[in-house]
Amino acid sequence: MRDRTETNNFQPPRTMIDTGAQAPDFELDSHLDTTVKLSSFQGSKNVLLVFYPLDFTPT
Amino acid sequence: MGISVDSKFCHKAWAKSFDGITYPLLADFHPKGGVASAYGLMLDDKGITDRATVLIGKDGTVKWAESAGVGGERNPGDLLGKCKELG
Repeated sequence: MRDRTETNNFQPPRTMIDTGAQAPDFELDSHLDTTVKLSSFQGSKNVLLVFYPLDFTPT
Repeated sequence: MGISVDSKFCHKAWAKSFDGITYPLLADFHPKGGVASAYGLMLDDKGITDRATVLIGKDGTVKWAESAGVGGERNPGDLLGKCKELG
């Protein structure tokens, strides 16, 4: 019999976004009490997104 | 800008430990990791995001994306080079 637990835990492989792809827009709160909308920078600024696992870990 | 699944309150506490951080730390908190998922950087089994860097150009497209892995370290030299290329 198949192990159903294993089946239920199946997750598709993650695929990091490709170079050249449109960056998915977002609007998020920041620790500076501002709301940041990615598309607001379009046409004026480059944006560097630094993803990190958790606060209080090295970035 | 920094981004993780922590709340902005957690970000504030962390930033305070560095005497403040002047660039925004974004709270990808609700839905948790929603933005990281859209960029293919959410580790669903761990509930955290990958350690990765994404450079987005003025045209709104991805110019460079690199994962260092959760336990890895970024390469600042590579990053600086890519930023200079974009100007």
